[in-house]
Amino acid sequence: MTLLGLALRDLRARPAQPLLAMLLTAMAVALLAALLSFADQFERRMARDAAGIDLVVGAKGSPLQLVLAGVYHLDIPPGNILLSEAEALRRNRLVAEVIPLALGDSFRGHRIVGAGHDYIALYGGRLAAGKLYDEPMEAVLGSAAARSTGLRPGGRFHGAHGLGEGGHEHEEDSYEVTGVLAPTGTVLDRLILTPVESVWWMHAGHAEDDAAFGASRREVTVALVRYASPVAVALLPRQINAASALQAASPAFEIARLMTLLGVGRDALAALAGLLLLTAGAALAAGLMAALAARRYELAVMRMLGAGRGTLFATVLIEAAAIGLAGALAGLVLGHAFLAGLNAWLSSAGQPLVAVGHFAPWELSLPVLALIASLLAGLWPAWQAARSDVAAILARG
Amino acid sequence: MSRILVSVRGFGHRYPGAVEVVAPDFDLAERGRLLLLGPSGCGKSTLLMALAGLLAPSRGAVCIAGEDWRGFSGAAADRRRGRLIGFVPQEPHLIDGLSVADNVRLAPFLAGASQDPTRRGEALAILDALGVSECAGRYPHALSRGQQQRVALARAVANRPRLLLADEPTSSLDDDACGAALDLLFAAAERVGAGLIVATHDRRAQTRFSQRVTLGAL
Repeated sequence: MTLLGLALRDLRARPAQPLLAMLLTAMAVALLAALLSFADQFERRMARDAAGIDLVVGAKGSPLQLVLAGVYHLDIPPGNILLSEAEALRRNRLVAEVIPLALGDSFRGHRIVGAGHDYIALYGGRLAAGKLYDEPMEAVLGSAAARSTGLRPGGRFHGAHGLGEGGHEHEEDSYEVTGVLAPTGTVLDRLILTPVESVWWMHAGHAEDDAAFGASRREVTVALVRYASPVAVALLPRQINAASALQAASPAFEIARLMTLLGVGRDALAALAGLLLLTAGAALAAGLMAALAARRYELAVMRMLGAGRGTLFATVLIEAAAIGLAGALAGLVLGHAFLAGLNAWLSSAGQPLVAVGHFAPWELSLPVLALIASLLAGLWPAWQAARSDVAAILARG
Repeated sequence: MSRILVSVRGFGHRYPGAVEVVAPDFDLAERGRLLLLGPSGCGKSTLLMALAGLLAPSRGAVCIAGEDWRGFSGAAADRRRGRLIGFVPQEPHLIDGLSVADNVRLAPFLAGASQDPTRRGEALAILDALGVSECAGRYPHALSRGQQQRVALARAVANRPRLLLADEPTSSLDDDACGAALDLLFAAAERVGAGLIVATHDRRAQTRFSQRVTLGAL
């Protein structure tokens, strides 16, 4: 027989109130766990997709838009820039690498990105089937794009103008799939890749003046830049922004800014979870007080049998802690079950939105948080149990 | 004359805003039996609590085994109570969440004597002696009232106390059951070699005790 055993068996004998408190704790912890796991994965993914890209150079406009369009392929790019201007960046001694991208079309929601093989190498993309493209109008599919479109090497498809589904189709020309990439866990998985020349080829007909669409007037959408030295952080963006018609945006900086904006929503949810935890604590305290009223003879008898005030105090506190911990563990399970539900509901293109088993570093401190909350909630009832007037209770029968 | 187990001198206790309850001086020998008689509200329970060291009287001395409770405080008094006193409350007040056997084992556990090898298996032996061994694995709510009373008695003597206190053990019983309940108390006290003090307003118990202390009715 131990105090823990005693506490647990008492909880089992009167389960209704403890279960309610446990459920509320579980809800609060589940909300926090899902939030933390989701936010952590989101930030990691954002960071992974931007790894190796120090600067995005494109047309003047919103820097966030440029980053979202150029790195994450989530937004419409602000406009095009001349290929010659992008190539000129290579001559800057602060620049180690320049990857020009030509955007514009999509197929069933997957962006068609005109890029050299170096773009695939940037994300460590490797072929799962077929070979890389060499000629215009050949295409390589990211793993998720291949899965959702069902295309394999040798297949053909028509690109649609714009980024969404149901845009005007380029009926006359079709792409030929030459290869499919293995999953990388990056934005590459969702893309369809083709030589930059394909995009020029597709859009040549739209140019106002075909003759002018010559080598010197060729356009790309963005250029991804990797710095040659840390000094570039301070110098290059200012150089580009001040001295040319181009705009330079740092993904790290823009995403940090975006996170600050999203952080407001996240903080609101966290505050809601905190409120829930507070409610759970109040329910726990109320439940323990009610149990105390029902158990006051039991507790008095325990004192009569030789238990000290400390033993009674500990018994009630152990009950509180057991409820808090059980609630927290149930909450972690519930939170990740919620992520699984989110996956089933929101997953697009056959790619899971979140990894259900991913635990954010902070998440594992949630049981500690719940434990502290439950101990605080248990303090007053425990104190009441310890200081109860045993003689008065027993003398009344 | 055997040694003195209990000694009460000049006992008086006043609850805030109430008249003082007093008790005459008395002694109880080791293994002695004493009836504490008086009407409801005369202070019998108050005296029992003082004997158990759970209540410090306003005046007077209550000594158990030669030592005044006033010499012990806090944890020391709790340990002493666990070792010396067995208490049978008017209602059984068994712990709902524990089996009958565990309810009895609770006594040595709380008194800090559960590691004592001579106490192992003691719970079952006591339940057997009191005729409720078949209830050992059951839970209190599954027992009849009489069975619960016996389990409460088993719990009270599980620590082999020097002094067994019983509060109104017979008040709700008919004549036959009254005699049987007293028989059980005597047997239990005898078994562990404890002195016995029974507090009651039930005059049927009088004839069974040679030593009687009357409270209230002066």
